[in-house]
Amino acid sequence: MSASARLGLAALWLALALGVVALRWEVANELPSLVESREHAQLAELSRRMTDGAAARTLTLVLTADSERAALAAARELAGELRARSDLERVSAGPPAGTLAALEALYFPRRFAFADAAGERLARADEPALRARARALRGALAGPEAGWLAQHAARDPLLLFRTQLAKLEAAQRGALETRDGQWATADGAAVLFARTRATPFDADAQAPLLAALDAAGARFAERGVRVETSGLHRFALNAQLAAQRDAQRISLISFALIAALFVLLFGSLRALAAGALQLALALASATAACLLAFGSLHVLTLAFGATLIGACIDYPIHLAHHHSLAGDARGPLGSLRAIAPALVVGAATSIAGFAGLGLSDFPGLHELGLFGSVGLIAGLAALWVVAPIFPRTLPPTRAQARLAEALARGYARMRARPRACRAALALCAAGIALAAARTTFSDDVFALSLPPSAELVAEEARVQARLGASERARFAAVFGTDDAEALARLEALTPRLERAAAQGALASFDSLAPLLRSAAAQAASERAFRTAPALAERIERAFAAEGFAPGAFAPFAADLAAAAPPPLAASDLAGTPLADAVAALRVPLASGVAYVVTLRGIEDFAAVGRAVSGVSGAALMDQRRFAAELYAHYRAEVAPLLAAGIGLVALVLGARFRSLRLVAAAGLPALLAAGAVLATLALRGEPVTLLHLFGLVLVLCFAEDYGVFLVEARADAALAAALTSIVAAALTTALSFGLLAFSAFPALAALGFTAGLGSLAALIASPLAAAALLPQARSTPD
Amino acid sequence: MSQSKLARGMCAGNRNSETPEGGSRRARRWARLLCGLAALTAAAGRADDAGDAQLAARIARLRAPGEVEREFVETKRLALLREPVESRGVMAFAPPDRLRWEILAPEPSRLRVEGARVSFERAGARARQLDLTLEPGARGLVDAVRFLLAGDLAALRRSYEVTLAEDGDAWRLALAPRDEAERRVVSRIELAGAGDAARELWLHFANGDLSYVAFAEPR
Repeated sequence: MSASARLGLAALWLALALGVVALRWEVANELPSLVESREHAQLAELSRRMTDGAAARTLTLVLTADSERAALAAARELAGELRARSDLERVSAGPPAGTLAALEALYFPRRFAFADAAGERLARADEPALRARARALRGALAGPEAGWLAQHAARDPLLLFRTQLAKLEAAQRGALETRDGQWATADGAAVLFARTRATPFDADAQAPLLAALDAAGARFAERGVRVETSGLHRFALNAQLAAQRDAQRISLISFALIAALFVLLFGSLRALAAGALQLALALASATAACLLAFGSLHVLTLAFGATLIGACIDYPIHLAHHHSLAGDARGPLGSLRAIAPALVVGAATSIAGFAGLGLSDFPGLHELGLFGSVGLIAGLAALWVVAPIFPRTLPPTRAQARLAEALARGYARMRARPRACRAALALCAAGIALAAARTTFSDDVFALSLPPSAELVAEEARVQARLGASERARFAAVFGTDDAEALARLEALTPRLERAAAQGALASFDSLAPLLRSAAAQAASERAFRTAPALAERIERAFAAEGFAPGAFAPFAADLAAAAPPPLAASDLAGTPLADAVAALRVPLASGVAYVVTLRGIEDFAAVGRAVSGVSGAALMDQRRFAAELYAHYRAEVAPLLAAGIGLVALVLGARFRSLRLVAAAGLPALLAAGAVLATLALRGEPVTLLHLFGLVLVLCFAEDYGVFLVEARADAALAAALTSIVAAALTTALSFGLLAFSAFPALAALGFTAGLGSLAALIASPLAAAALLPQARSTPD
Repeated sequence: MSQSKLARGMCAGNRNSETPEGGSRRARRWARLLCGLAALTAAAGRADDAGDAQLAARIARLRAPGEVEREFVETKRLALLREPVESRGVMAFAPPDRLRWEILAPEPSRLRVEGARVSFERAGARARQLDLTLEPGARGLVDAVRFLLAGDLAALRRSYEVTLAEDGDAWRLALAPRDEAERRVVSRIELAGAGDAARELWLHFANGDLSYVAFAEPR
């Protein structure tokens, strides 16, 4: 294939890959979704739906001013402005208009079906108890509620609907109060709820809204009204922006350093252009493959992808050094052919390691495995396509020549003392093993997220405290294959939680239990009234004895004799003022449905757990603990995968070199480099996190390349080229990814620390292993 | 231009215009009819303007200059009960927006309004915050009394259609709720009095029940 045909192919390839990326670009950044497994599918799905559901998409705005009246007026004004926004699905400043009529239409005909235990007891009460009830009604009729009561009591003398209404009202407003139809807190702040259409984790969608809220906040502040916000949106946006800023900064610096190194060592912009194009093809192909396979790319895969630059750039660096110091007369393609075995073996071992990740149960590892494998294969193939861009001859620059000479001299000295090298190697291995044995692991996936700013945390806490809000990350849930099963479980859970609350394990809890009952429970409650012996007559008699008009309760008797209405279903609440509560607490799942119970003021989580564990199909969720459990499960699974990956690498190396010493010389640097990272973390008392493990996979990948390059070049004049390319590659990785270690984002910092330190360790370990283990007679460096 | 000026202008213009022979009789008839209608509309407008001024003046006179406390006796005629139920209590108002409606007998209860906050407590039970949108009966009573004593005609008109009838010093205000939910419970509220003080209040419930409140003379 001619050089121009190769370049045409490169352009077409890049255009295709970038086209896919542009069309399918979607970034996810919830850490739990990266590590969820099939085994925890139901809990994980609920967890994910909760982070994406109506409650998570709701921003709470609290407005305070000198007077409650001013705060309420400002809230009305702000609500009006927000209602005009198309990125908000719903803005609520108070209970919706027509709430009473809607509740009455739904629940008054079903007052028997939703009667509580006390109401059901009244159905069988004796005359004195009924007369006491009549006196209470008569007393209430003397008060200001008389109009409404008088209108309903003829059909509902036991005031079952009034009791239900109080529960519904409490369920709808939670800990809030209302003032003239607006939400307010007990201490005089006005409250607004704004539900976004997009998930709070979609930073691009949320940025304009949050900017508008900031502008409105500044405007209201001039009038003495303070607007505070609570919600996941701002945290997610800040985290994503910080991660993007860091990734962009690191990428820029990384690219600048690589460019400077290319120019310094090779003095050729064409070599730089070839390297840049190869890298672009590798990264665009890996990104496109992941987007096609998974629909989105996790932000951590992106971060990992950025570090893949460190592995991919090693190929053009190796080619450039070889072409320059031991170039083939046929030009760059000839040089490429000469080092092809080293590149293919290096890439094959890395791909074997990545392919092992594909066997994992975790979607996040599938994504990383695919990204790494495709990136490396594409990087290698791209090198073949871009090779003609290199100049036909690439005379070594002075810097390159001096470096090559110094390295060759140093390596020759090491080779002259193989025993000392073996002793040093053994000492390093022993030291690393001793220190690495003290490695501890942290399963707290959330600790990898950017710590939110103290200001945001304080604002969130102030708003949550003012609202007496329930906990976001800890809640109970009941699961069922359908609503009937899930609601029956909710009915079993409710009294247990009430007992736990009475014993002080938690302050209170919210669920849909007051709004929805299983059809069986509704039918049973209906029966309790309809089959109570002569209930209408007994009420007529008892109430008449307390001054009620004869026949006043004939409508009640007629209702009791009529057919019961159909049971109320969750779907009946759609489009009613209760729809918001249902959307927040009823979560449809692939395998059925879950009803969530939010918890407030948890004092004894274990006691709440005991209350929940007694109900079949109920679970107590602690999102943080759940993610940690998933991660622990991941670690248990990933260990044999890593071992299998290392075994596969050994097999590939064995097939290529057919000598234990050569396999050890090629493979040992990777193990030593990874061990050095673990040992350093252990000595610093830092636990190993998920991102350190991702980084270690990368270290194994490029460190093992270094070993292979040296072993492949052991017998020819290209050893100096191999040594310089290893130094250049390691320095590139250390300088660029070492910077990542200073990122504010703990996940990126962990990745950077591992890759940066690992590359330096590999730089020392690979010549040491080669000097110590390669057969003496055949080692004749230039 | 006011409606009366507009009507005068139309009729004057018609008189001055030359009408051709033939077909002019019909045209003149139409012109007279239009003039008549315009004059009627203008008269009604003048009556509304005058009524507004009268109403505004009455509401201004009813505004409590300071704290007010009035005992009352409330009698409810309810279809549910054989006999009317009577209760005694105290109504207290402090400008601009604090109201207490307290029943002392037979069943003590207390309704408190402070700005937009409404709470209700009954003997032996904890006070609870009320959402008046869910308490149409109580809302009618609270709004009528507090808006009147605050002299807030605009607020009164937002919630009710207001009409005033006066006969010398005596007056009677009729309030028809605008809100449909409230109308389903309270069809009409009437307040009557003489001079600057309200003496009687009627709440006509939608089901035909009636509550009559007689206020004692101010202390």
